[in-house]
Amino acid sequence: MTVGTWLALAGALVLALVVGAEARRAAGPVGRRFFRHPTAAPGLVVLAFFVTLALAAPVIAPYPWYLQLDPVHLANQPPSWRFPLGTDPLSRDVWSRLVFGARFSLGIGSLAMLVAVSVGAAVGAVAGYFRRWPDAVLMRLVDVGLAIPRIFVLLVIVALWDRVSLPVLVLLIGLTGWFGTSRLVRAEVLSLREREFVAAARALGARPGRVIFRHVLPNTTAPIIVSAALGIGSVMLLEAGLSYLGIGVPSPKPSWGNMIAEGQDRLASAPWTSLFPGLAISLVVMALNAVGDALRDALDPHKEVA
Amino acid sequence: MTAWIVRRLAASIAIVLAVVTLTFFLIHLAGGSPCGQSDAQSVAPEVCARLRAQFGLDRPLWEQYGKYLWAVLHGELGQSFWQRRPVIAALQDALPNTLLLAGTALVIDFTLGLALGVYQAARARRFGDIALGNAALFVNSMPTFWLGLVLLLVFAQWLHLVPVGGTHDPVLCSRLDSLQCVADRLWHLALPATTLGVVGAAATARFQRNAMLEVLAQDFVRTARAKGLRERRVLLVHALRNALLPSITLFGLAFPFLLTGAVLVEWVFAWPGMGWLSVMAIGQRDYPVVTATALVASAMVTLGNLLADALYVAADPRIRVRGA
Amino acid sequence: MPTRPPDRLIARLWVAGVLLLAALASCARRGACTGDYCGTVVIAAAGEPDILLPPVTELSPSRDVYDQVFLKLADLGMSGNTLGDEDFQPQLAERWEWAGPVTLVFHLDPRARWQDGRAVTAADVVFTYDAYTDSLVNSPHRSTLRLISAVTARDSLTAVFRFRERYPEMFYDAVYQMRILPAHLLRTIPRDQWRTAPFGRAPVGDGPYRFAAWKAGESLELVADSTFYLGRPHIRRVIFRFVPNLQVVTTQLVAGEADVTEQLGSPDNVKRACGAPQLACYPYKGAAYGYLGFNLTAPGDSTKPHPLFGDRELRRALAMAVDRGAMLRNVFGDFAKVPPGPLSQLTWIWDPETRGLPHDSAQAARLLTRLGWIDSDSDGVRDRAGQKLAFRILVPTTSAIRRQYGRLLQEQFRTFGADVQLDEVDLGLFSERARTGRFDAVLYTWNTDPTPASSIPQTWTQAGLGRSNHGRYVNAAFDRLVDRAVATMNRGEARRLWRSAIELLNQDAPAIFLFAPDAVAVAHRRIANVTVRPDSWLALLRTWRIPGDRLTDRDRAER
Repeated sequence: MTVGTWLALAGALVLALVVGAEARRAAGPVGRRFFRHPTAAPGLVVLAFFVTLALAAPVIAPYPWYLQLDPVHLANQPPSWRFPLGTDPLSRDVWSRLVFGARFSLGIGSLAMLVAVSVGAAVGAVAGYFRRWPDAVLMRLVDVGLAIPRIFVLLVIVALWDRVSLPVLVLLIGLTGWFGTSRLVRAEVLSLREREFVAAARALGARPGRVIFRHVLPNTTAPIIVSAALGIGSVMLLEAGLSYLGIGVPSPKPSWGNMIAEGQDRLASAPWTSLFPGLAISLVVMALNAVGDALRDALDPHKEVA
Repeated sequence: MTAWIVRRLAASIAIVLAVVTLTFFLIHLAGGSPCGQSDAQSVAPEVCARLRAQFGLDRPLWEQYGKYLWAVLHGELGQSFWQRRPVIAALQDALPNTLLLAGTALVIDFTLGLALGVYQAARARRFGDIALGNAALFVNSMPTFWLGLVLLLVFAQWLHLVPVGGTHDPVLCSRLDSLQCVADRLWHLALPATTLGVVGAAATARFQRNAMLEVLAQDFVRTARAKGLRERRVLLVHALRNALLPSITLFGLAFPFLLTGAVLVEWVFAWPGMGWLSVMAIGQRDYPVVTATALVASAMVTLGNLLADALYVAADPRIRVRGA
Repeated sequence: MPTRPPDRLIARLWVAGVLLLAALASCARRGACTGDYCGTVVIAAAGEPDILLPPVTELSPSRDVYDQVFLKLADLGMSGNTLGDEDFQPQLAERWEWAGPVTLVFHLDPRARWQDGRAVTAADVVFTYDAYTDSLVNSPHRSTLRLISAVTARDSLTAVFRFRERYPEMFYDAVYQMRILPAHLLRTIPRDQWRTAPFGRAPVGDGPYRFAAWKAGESLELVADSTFYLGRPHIRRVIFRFVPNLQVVTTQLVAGEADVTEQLGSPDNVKRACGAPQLACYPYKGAAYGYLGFNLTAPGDSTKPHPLFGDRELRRALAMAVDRGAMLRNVFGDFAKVPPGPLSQLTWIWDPETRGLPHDSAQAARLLTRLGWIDSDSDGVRDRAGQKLAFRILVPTTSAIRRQYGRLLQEQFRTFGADVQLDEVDLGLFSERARTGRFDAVLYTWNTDPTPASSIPQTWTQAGLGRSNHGRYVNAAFDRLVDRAVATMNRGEARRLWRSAIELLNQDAPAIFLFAPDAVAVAHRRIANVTVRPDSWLALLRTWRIPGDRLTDRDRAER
């Protein structure tokens, strides 16, 4: 690692801490409820750190992720000042790959979650607003969707279609994960549609679509946001699992999951290649879970905080 | 009560049939794709030929669907190209292993999770609660396969305390014919079941802690304490019984988690269950096996939900009184 | 509420439970084998067989298993000498004689029996030859039998081989490849269904071991035939345990869960295994070589040339671009050598002085540019007339070595502007895709025969097309040199001819020859008389023994 990259890393840490502090200071009543959770602030800092890593990867990472520095002499090196997390069997810097891997893992997590939440919110809103047969049909669809464990759907698709490109994979992960969100949104919409402002909008002759999008959905943001925060975590775990099995992000592109797989063969003698990516996933998902829990309690004042 | 059971059973069967339809749709979609060229988003050429042969794409769609449905209902799930025998035979070998693993993990999950949840509730907001809470959060956020690898590294490769994988010693215990073989199986089961169980227990503990705290805030608990009953009795006899109820819903949610986790954990430990079978079959582009395991997994999840719902209704007298 | 005596009851239950467990643990094992013919050997293997029907498969895990179940007419001796017939050991044939310059007569051992009781006859030999040369069976070994013109049965115990011409390794060709098959069991199976026949999953042979059970993906068990006429095998049970990769193989050996393995791959594994006190290491001349083979014809359509690799100059450029020495050191450390051609260290024509393409990255880059491959759109990948220099390498997931090489090659090619993706599939599918030509480039490993006269024509000449010549490399001049080298009676002249042939092949660059590993077999110390024949490491398994005083619990256990 060069001086520049150490500085960049320090910068990322400082930025994360600043984000945490600023958020705390600028918090309104919702924010204060959020920060009442002891794990909320650290979670936010961890997230900010990793997001910074992902965004500023070319600056922070000392080497490109694909570069095999010296396959003869620099393979399987333990952590040192030059390689803070060691090198993998192909003499690539684990820290650099971890940083770039944040891009892939976090990126896929966010994009897939975006797809899932959009579809889920739309379906939930339609089902909750129109009730009767659209509701029945859509909720039966949700039941079917929840019956198949997500990973099996993806396994079936990979078994049939030889190579699934990354964008399609992200889309599929998203399309298999909207069911929970739709139920939450539906519940919210069912209670919202009885409120006066909805009745008023309908009395004024607004079309159902407009009512849903302009009036109902904006008030369902609370469960959607919580769903999203927790959803990214589960998507990241799923993507890690798929990449570990070799059917997710294709090597040599680094994803925290396939890095774990690549270090497997030397686990006994050079465990750092597999240990650190797993640790990174655990930290990020833990932060997401903490933030998600805190958000859930902050955005829904009716729930008792134990 | 029986009317409710019949309705739920019918709904469950409908769900499984819908899943079968979905798999048919997927297979048919793949069979209609262009194949032969090895470029992105195309079906593997080996798979193509077999798909075409399986369905005879010249027949009308509903006829193909009918044939497929009939075959599935009769347990004819196709032929495995990799193993050169019927898929149902491969499943018969694999399913008991997955049930064993998932069952043991479920037991570990709930005993450990409930115990931890009760302990945390008893020590609410003190050091024990906070420390365990964070530890549970961390464990619940770990990829199960990574935890498996770490445990494998420490206990199998460094300490040689447990075997590196497999279900049994192929020499001594190819048949389960002595009690020593039972012990051998348990020894092989220890690490994979612990991996799955511990990650699930973390989630169960968090849930149970909150449920317990809710119950502990209620009036009847205050009454029990005022009567002078020992705290342990209040906790374990009075509060827990009522706090167990929400955990039954967790039981239903555990099935998808366990089956998903089983895929990865079975792969790490070379445990020849359904998940392992699925991943091996993918390496061979053996799609009948993969679709069959997806079907079985869905059936298991649906059954699990049904059981959980029935358990909940049986356990909660308030629901029964409502005349469901 | 009834009074509960909870604590005493619970305590009593605990005590009872502990006593029960103790009783269970001390249960005596049923059955106990003693003496010199016990012994169970667990072989840890990273690759699983596909089919156990000899003519149909070329996978070496399959060969390791079926060589215990089926016999050849005669087998190679430990010296590995393939010339003449003096150094061969009788197996199915108890003796033989030459009835003329091109006629060989085998007299079968009348004691030989198939495992279902029937006698082995010369009709089986004729049937076997017919099957190995049948185009419907399409055996990869067919080309090795091309110089035999006919096999006939003079009577039930006499088989006559007639050759097309006289050449040094006639006897070797007659006996080495063909495992004699039971005609009475296979005659009824249509030849084009041999690849999927149930016999391939449960073979019946005449060898020292009998097939017992096969759990796909887990284990395969063989049991000794106590009536085997050439001597009862000392090891009673042989269990192949299939394991995801070589690191797990090593861990199982060190932990005592497995006894034997063929080779360990990386230097790490060798250090761990050979350092374990209960294991003994047996180095032997490596019989394998690995290479990156180019497909010279279009994938899936062998009538058209490959859009990239049909161009000889492009292949040469790519061959000069990679640093084979560095990759070798990364994967093997000091335990392998870069082969001078399609040769393993066992092959007698191995000569480091053989001329090949040098590692010259500057020249490679110049050559690529001269051919018109330039990066016109600055995306890092060279292109020419709208076509990108992009291809896929087929790699089996079971070989950690080849997966490592795949990644190393990927990066090396990237620095030259070639975009390489890896196709990692399971061994069975890998083998099928290689066989049917559905790949751009493939990382293949061969276990060579003891003489180049059978392995090189099978893999690199016209005779190997549709069989083991997966890249479909054909060069008539090369074929002629090989034919002459095979036929020459003078050893020195043969060596010169082989060298010219290999040098010619190297200039054509149909493949980049990457590694020829040193081989180290590992066996538990309690196993005595471990002899490893370099060309087929388990060939002498039936002579290994575990002395009665070194038996462990595992050895004594009955099934």
